[in-house]
Amino acid sequence: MKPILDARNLEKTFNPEDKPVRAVQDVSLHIDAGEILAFLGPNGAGKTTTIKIIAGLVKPDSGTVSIDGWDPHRDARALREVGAVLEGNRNTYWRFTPQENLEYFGVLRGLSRTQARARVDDLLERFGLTEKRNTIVQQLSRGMQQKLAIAVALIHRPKLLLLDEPTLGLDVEAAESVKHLVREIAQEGHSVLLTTHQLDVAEQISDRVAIIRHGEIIAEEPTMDLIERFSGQSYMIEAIGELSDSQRQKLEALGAKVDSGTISYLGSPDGLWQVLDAVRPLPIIRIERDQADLTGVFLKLVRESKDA
Amino acid sequence: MHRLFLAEFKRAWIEFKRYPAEAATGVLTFAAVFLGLFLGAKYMAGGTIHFGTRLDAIIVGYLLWTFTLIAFGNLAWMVQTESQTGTLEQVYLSPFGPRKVFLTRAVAGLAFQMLIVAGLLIVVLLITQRRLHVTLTVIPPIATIVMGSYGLGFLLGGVALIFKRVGNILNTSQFAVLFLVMTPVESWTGYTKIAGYLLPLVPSAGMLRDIMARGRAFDPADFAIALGNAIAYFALGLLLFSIADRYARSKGVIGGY
Repeated sequence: MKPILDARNLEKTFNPEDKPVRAVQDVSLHIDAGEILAFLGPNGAGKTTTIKIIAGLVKPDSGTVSIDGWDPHRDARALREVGAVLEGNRNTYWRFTPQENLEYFGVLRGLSRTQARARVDDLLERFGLTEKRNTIVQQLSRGMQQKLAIAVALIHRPKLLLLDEPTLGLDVEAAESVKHLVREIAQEGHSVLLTTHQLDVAEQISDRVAIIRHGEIIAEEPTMDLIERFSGQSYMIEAIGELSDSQRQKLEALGAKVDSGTISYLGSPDGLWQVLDAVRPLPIIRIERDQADLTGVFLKLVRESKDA
Repeated sequence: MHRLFLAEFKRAWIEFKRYPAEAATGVLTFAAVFLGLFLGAKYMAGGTIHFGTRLDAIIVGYLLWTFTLIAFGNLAWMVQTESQTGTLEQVYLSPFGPRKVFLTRAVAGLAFQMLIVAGLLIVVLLITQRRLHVTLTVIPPIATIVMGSYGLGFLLGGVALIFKRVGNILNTSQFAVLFLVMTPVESWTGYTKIAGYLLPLVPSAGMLRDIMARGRAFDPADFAIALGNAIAYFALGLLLFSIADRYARSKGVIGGY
């Protein structure tokens, strides 16, 4: 099956002459229809630049992007298959209502007025915005504004949806609602590229994970496989008494996380003995092999690549 | 394209209807500035002064100045505002592309800008007790003024794409535009006239003054010059906007205010 998104060997360096910053280095990504790829990385790792290259907003120095067979940097037809919600942006016009935004952006994305109008009711209903259809966007809650931004990105039924931090700044309820919507959108066949710092969200809804650091992809595989791969190596240790500062430093250097008396460690059995040594002489009351989570996996991979 | 035009027209209508104070403030501000200039000039010249057709030429020039500022400033403001509010990327994601979207938006907003200028014209004529020759022949030079203004607008829009803030440039350029539309280059002779006609907007402004203030008939030769000038500056504006667009994409500064 041909992937909806096929980005290959993307390279982008900013300020090549003066203090060059290699924002994206040999990044390749692909997403199949109906798949959610969580694109994770620390701040400044190159996530947003990669997303903007895919959307045709930043020109790569080299590499290719294909969206359903079209290159967004050469052919405007590619843009008919992309919807995007970008982080830090309003993404919609705040002086207009949700209905006006949806109708306007529908035409802007290539629909006829009739087609756009036909989609509006459905999207407003689905995103829980029907009652607010005639309220100025500025007066909506942050969660509703974000839901509207996603609805607007979907108005033309794009095959690829780019979501840059869609749950950032939302309360728990709104974030849950957005999470469910993203899952539903993928189930309908849209491909989703999702960046988020909320790794629990990524773990719950993504099919695959790609982790980027300093512009390079350091891991890419199905989410469950990745977690499974690290699960056998995850341990919880509980000890009585206070850890000294030097013990804490030693544990952190080994990649263990210390959290109010509980030490979690993701690593090999050999490494576990080093952790236990570091805890010595505090009495240990529990050691348990734990199911890894994406947060632990992410931190381990990012730290490993930092040490490499 | 007609779909996009209708969508932009509706957008402009909603804004005009929802925020009428913005349009009213525009008319009142420009009228107040004109009143200040007019009364100041009258006071300095003494009570018995008669401006005659020169005043008519000044009124036409002032209206043109207002209109040109609105038309070309609008395009630059559009880019700056979209960049500030984080909607510029969404415009870029349109298959129509930013040039077509912004140009269509500017043209769709024209009717409402014309309403502002018409309101201003009424106020100014009431203040000065003058009458202008308004016939259908004013439409071609107004069209070329609009085209030339959009060329300048795209040029400044390109600057806004890269540098984001164009407020200071817009403020300064008001005086340059004032010179371009108020200077009666059409009454000059020889090389200075030719050189003057190479400047943006100048031939169209001169032609409009001839028709509206001096009551002259439509001159096809003048119009050919005005049209050539407008096309040249419009094309130049689009070209420079495209260059700025490519530069912004390569530097990754689209949006990113």
